Amino acid sequence: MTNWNWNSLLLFASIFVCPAWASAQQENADFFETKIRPVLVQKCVSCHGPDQQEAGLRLDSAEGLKTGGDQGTLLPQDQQASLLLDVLGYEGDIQMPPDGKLTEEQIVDFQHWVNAGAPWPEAAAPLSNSIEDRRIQDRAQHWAFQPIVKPSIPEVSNPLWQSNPIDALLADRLASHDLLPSPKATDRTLVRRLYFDLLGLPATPQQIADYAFNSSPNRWEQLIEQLLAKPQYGERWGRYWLDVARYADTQGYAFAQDRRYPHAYTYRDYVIQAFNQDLPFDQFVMEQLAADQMDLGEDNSELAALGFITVGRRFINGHDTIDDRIDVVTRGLMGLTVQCARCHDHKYDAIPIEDYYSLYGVFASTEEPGIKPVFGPKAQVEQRQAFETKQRELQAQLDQFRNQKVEEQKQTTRQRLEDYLYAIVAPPEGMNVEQVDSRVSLDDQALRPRMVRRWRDRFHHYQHDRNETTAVFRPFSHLMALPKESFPEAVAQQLAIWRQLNTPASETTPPASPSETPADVTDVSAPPTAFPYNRDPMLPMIVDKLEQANLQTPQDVARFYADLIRQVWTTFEEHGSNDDAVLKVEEPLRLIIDLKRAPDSPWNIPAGEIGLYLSDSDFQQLQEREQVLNTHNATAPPELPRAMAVNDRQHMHQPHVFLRGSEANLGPQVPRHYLTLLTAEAPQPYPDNASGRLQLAQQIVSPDNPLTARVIANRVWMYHFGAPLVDTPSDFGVRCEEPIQRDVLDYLAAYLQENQWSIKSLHRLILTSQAYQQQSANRADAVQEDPENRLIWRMNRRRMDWESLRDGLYAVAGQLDLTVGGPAIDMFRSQPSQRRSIYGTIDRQDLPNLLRSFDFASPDSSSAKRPQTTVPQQALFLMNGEMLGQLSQQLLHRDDVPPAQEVEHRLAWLFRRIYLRDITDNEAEMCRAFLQQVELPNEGENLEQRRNDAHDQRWAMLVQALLMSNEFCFVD
Amino acid sequence: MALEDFQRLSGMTRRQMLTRGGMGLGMLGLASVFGVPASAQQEIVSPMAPKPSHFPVKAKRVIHLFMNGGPSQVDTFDPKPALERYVGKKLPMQNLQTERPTGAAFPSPFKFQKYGESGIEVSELFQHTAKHVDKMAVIRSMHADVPNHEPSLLLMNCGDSRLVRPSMGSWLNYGLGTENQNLPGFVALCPDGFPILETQNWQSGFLPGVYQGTYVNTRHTQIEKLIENVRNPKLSLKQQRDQLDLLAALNQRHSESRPNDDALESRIQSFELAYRMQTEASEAFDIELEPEHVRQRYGDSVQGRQILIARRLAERGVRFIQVWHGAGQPWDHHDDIEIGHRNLANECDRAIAALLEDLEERGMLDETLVVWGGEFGRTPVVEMPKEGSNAGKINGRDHNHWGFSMWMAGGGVKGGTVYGATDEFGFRAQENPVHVHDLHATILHLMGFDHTRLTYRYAGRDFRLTDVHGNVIHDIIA
Repeated sequence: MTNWNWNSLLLFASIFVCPAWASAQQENADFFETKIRPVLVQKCVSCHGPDQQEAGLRLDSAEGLKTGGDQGTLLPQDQQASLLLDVLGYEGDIQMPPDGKLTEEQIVDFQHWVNAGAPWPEAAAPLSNSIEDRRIQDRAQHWAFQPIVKPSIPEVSNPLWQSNPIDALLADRLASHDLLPSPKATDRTLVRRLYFDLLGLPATPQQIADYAFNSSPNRWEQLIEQLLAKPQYGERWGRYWLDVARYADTQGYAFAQDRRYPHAYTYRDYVIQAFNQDLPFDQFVMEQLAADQMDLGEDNSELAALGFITVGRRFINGHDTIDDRIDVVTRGLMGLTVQCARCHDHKYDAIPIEDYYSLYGVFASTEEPGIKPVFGPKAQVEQRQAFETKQRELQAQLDQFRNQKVEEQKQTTRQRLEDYLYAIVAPPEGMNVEQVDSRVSLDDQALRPRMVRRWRDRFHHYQHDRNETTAVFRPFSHLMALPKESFPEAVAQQLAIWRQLNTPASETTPPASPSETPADVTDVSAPPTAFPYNRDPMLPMIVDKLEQANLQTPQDVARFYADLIRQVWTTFEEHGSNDDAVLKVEEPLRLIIDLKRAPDSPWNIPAGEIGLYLSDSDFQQLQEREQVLNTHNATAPPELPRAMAVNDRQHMHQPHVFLRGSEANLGPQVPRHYLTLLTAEAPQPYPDNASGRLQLAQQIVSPDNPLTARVIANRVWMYHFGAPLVDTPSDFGVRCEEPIQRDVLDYLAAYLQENQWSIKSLHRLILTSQAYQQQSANRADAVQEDPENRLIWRMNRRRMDWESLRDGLYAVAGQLDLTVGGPAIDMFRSQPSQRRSIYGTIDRQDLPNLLRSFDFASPDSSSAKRPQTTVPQQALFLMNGEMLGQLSQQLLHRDDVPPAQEVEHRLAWLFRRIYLRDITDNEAEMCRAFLQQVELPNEGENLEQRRNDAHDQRWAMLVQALLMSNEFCFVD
Repeated sequence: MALEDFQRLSGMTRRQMLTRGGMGLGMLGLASVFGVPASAQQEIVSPMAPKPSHFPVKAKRVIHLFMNGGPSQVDTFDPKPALERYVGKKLPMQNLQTERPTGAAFPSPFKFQKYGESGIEVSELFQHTAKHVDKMAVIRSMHADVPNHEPSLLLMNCGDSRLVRPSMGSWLNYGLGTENQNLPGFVALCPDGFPILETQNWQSGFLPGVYQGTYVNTRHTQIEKLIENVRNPKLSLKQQRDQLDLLAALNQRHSESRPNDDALESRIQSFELAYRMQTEASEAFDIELEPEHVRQRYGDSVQGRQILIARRLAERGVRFIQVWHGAGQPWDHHDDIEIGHRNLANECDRAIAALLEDLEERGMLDETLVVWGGEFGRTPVVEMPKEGSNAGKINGRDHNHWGFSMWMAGGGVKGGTVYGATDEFGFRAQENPVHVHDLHATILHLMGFDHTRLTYRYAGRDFRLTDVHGNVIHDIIA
């Protein structure tokens, strides 16, 4: 404890105890309730309270405090200092609270309190840190939960800083630190800054000149208006919002399916438009959460806003997808980390687990329509919808017809399996089994050549496959090949050979049908008599079965196998046709199930090739149906954009708490409603017949909610100044300390609400401030006092983010295509594109390294601010990547570039073009020297041409250096 | 942002932080105002600069040999002769629920044999690697959460089977920085494309993008194809040097009127770094620079090449090197496991043995942690046919998250150790079960971190690799 603290405390305390006794008591109580209790509750009683008594100490009652713990009493004894204050002051070995020292202000409060005898009002409610208590306290005390009150504007001496209230607030605070603001930046710097800030594009030399020569006193305001009206403004500021909305063009990992969101771009375009049209921010929020439940404009294009909910990552587990949606809504719009309450009550903010599941219910009652709604001019939409309805109907009819025919063909095949198996060896007269890819005329009865072929191929495979599991079928072709004239005898002979092979030598027995068997048949080592019998060992089980089958003709063999297959299938079906049913079939016959189930089995005909199996009359019917569909498709009206919309389910989800976040652990049912933390009374349940998204949206933008306006105002400030007022732009919870410039933030938030939530108005307010127009240079005096520029004594110098860097490079090279909107373009991987970066495909599953290394916002969850790193990969991309090399050359091929012979002229032009200023003598000298160092070829063919090329390359290298330089990549 | 997170990001010490007010990242700079020499500044600014761990490290770097797809424990490092007694028959226990239907006991078709002084049994599949068994701690009681690839890959890499979380390599780079500023700190090698889940396996999640793994397709042999933008297609090094000299001069002039701005300064440095990286990275990936006998030892194959590259990267101070066997899920033998496992082990066994030998000879093994394993193991019983998922040959094994084997060697690992055991048949981890979180806690421990204290504040919470789980396995630590 320092002397200073003691002195000031004594002074303060003496003032405090002066008033009359009764009122002093009241003040004691107030002081305890407002200053002491919250700290005890938040910082102490979880370890020193009813549940745990670390060090034998309880701090949840006056008695506990007085008694103390293992270390003795906490209050001052006999001139000794108070142990409590020592511990809080982090003076000795014991330092409490363990997770960090209290703020100076809190420590002074405790000193004050202890010194006054630690008065603990008798009527004080019991001390606990139940979530309900925390809620009441935080609502009463945490700065961000307090209503937005427009601060009074102080008088300041600097006349320039009087007119804009923001300036007055800032200048006043600077003055209290004995600091002055920085002077106004030059015209060039200001114009470049404004173009970068509002459009994300560099200004041109002409634009700088226009501004410099504009004599109007309102030229700054005029320029702001001019830029705010450009479509590029929405692309710049829309991209910021896409960071918050964790925008991507893919859903994340998908094993076999297409992972693209082909319509995500309609959300991106909606956001760009919303900014360009200055859609009131409250309306913007409402549409993003509940456009489907609002009165929409003529063309329904607001439906695209719902992409805010749906463009997130998709998880295998649907609860995680909902979790992502809760997060983007609560953190993105209100700066509350509700996600933390998924498994248990929020550790810091008073958000009980029940509230998480109340919001869970809202999103679980929301679904995405299977067919994304189209939007556009009404007539076009209706036309398109009518077309698609009819199209689906015709397609369904066609599919149904095909499926029905497939089913019929399967049944026929099953019934006539013996015929098909026999045809493998002996196709019917005139059937061509080799050419089966085109249709042949068929009547109802004929075997289908393509079906014969399917079985033939499969049996052919079995014949050559040495795998044990296919051995069941191996005897087939051998038996079918036996001579027809003496078939029964030959079968007997062959079976005897196989049996012999299966019998160990000691157990040799005579062959099975001795009567008509040739005499030498038992001697398997003897050469075959009339016919080359097969001498491979066969499965005993199948040999047994064949022997019992009394095979008289090849047709009998086919029938034997057909019966076997049908038997196995029937057994499998009788047991439910599932994985367990497989086990009901003995090995090695399980393979036969595969003939039925496997997608590539001969039995399973793909619906698409059913035409090859149809009789002529059926085929005609198929063609007619196809024709009708084709004719209809030919009348297709143009494609329209589709919204990644949502709508409420037919039946609302009644959520239960998942204890510890596990759906296997159902807790109590909870109603769908708003966060308790943000309502004065208990929150009203949402209607039974609605998910509650509309109500939630209304509550989020309600004037009673102090968070939404503060959160967006802080974001807007951050993008203008390069640093936010509140350091954690998506977390305004109790762990977020009150910002130094709280009054500025509140002024901005109030201003936004007063001005119909117009973001452009907020821009105007900020951009016209002197604070924004300051120089960015460091000042030794101010750096000592405020190294982080928290007091905003200068503008922050900013490095261009990825989008402005890339777009800026294309722009100066004269290559930027300013087309607005449309589907995403794969520009970061394969083909270069001249469109602005916001239109590039964002694949969240495989985010290009390029974007990663340039600090792009991770699209995996709502992003509060981008990281700022400087890594050599960024430099490598600029030095060696194809993009900058090409752009450097293209810049030199612009029509307005002076010719290479006019070196001075050309250099001057380049500096004006790229740096928006004149070249200095020194720089011109450097550049000339660089150009002269060129190595020219001395001999060989086309010498002149090659020398010219070498000069051109040198120029391109120079341009590239200018484009890579800090002067181009930073904004003062 | 918590104080500690900030220190990790900025590489600043607590003292430096406090000197400067310690309020956030916005003020990275101005160091020279306080008299920090310029040379120290640029180190301070880089998020990849080396940073101290919680306690002295046992291992400085990790080489993770990722057998993606899931190698079978009973065919590699966990012999189960009891399976022979039930060949073709049901086990006397209920088959545990895995992804697909399973049937009878399926003894390993591979021979096991004792190796080394420790006499640990290893199958013939890894007969070369097995010669180094005295350097290894074999964990036979690994277990994970579910029998599916995607969640298990996420769990093994990022400590959570569903949500977006930073991978272990990202955490280690965040925690320790990297020793060679001319190379990425986290490299993922995989021939022919990505494993399933693609770059999510080496994602940085909510940590800054610099900590993400850099993917290298080791099928390529040309350096330009191995690393993005590492060479200029048109300019010679001499020409590029000229160009960077001009750039430096331009930047110098620009900085003169904008003093004390570390962001400007560090960007200037980043170009010099990039220039050096071109040479250094090219060298690191160029195995032609290795003597013939070393290349021979690793084998002239994709696996041999990429495992040799891993050693070269380790040698140059890359913090975390992950070597994936191949694109997709190569070890996933639902059918023909005998052929499949034999082929794959043949591809990598010699190279892994060579790696352990080589690291030891170079005196690097003590400070390099080598980790071997898949995302899970395989069932000791045969997989039954299932429509659309296997070829119905009934000669493969299903996924098995209930029990599987991994091994670690080198940096701080007690060699010649077997830790834990599965049940009689190798189905479920039974004795001293080791969850993936425990493995992570142990790896972090070996790298000098208390896994409960390596945290990052994001969206209102302090996150860690092990979430709320994890116990360090002290028995396998030397």
